[in-house]
Amino acid sequence: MSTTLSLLLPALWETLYMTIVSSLIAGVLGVPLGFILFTTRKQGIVAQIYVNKILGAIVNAVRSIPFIILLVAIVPFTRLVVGTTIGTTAAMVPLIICAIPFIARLVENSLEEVPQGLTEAALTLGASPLQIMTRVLLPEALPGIINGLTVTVIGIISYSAMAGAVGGGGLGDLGIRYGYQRFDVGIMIATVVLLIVLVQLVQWCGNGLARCCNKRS
Amino acid sequence: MIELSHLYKTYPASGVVALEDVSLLVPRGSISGIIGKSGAGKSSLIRCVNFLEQPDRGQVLIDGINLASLSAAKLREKRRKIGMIFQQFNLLSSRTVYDNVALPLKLAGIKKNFIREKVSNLLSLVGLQDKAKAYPAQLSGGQKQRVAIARALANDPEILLCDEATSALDPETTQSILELLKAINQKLGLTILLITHEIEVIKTICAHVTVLEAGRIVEQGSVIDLFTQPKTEITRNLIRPALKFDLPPSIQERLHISKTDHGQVPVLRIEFIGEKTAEPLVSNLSLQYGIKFNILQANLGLVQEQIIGVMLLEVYGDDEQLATGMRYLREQGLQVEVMGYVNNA
Repeated sequence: MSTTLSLLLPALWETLYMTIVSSLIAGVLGVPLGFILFTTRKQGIVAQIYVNKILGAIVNAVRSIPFIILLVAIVPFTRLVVGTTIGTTAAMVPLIICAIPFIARLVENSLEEVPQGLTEAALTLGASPLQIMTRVLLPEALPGIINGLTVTVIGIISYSAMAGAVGGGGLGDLGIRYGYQRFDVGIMIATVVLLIVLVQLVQWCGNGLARCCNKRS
Repeated sequence: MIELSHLYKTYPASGVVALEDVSLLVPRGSISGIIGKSGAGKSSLIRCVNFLEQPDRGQVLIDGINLASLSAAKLREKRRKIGMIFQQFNLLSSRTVYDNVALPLKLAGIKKNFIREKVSNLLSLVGLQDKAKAYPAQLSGGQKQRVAIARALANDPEILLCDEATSALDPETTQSILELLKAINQKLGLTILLITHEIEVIKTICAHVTVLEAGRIVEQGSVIDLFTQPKTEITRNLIRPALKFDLPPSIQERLHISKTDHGQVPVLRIEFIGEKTAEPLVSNLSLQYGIKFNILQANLGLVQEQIIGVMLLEVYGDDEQLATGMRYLREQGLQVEVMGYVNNA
């Protein structure tokens, strides 16, 4: 039992570490990217069609690369950023790269849901583009953005299972190495149960937060 | 003062001509209206006043300043002095009534203490002191529009633009919002420019009106003139519901545009304004000219605090009697028109 725990706890910690840090960094970069994608559109408040088209193409390109390929394909970039290509920290670089465009698109979709009239009203009140983004679009789209981030965090938990391919550790890796390769059913069940609980927890928090800031009804 | 001169606007994507050579003058402190059917270009026109849309050609002058000459930052500053309210209210659903009204002040970087006092004054002006902590979703349509009005007034604008502001409201709420706008106009000396497709709105609060059709101005002038001397068919169609002088269906069925039979008698439409309503002109018609008549319909209404009456008469008499009778009425300043002929019952 104690050996099982001594395997599970570090793995859980690695998963949490990868998920939390990756989510935070991807959120910090992905949410603004979503705003840029939305506001640089032809009808947007800072219309920049070429910027929009180029960013859109990059976002689509990254999103179409399977994660397992991205994981190994960007090894040189990973080394450049974190100085190593193996281990938990190294696994986070592709996780973040993969999550940023995903978040950006979800944020863009949430912003689309904000009635155009609100932007117009803000313009008549003398709001600058930045003020419109932070004081009108962000609060109005917040429930949708939170839902999008929840989906992303859950996706990162799931993708982090592949981190084992670069020695990233985590619950998924543990499940593969002990549960699958060594036929340790107990470990397999324990990792799956932990992952289910983790995902439930994230979803529950996300729903609560989204509900809390939704004043629409 | 708002001065629009020779505005043109075409939407390139659809090729729709929204405005064609539109000029308009809104004097300081007045309430002016623009009326037209949907697609007439009203929305484009009012959006040009604060440059939410830029005209392709022509000038927009606000108190003599050409909006096209302003930098983005100066334009934002100018917009703070041009409030606007909308059909769909456009309140932030995520913010309380208080925060919605405080938003323009926060955007302008005004100090918190001042904001608190200002917002509470504005909320009492629109009669919503007790709703400060409510969210827009908890309010009725009329209350939402009141919040929007308070928000639009937060930066002490000189101009208030109303984009179909009462079109989503029921008639009773519409009246209360119009009364509020009128009160604000008198209390704060605010210049109000509104667009609407409802003639009732124009009739209730506007002094001046512009009729727009397919991007062009078809008529412009005082509201009284519009009601009493409409120059175009478009205007007549617009004001008809407000004066409720549509013929009853039973008569409409019998009405012939021209005289087809000897037994037919004319139907006269007589319109009178102001003090003329008190004079027994119609009975004089009978006493002095021997014309008998049958009143089909009569209607009195208030336009800009003046009485306007419309009467439909079926008249009996020979051609000469009728001609002199009509001349008499016209000499008294009444509008007389033969609407058609009906078979003598």
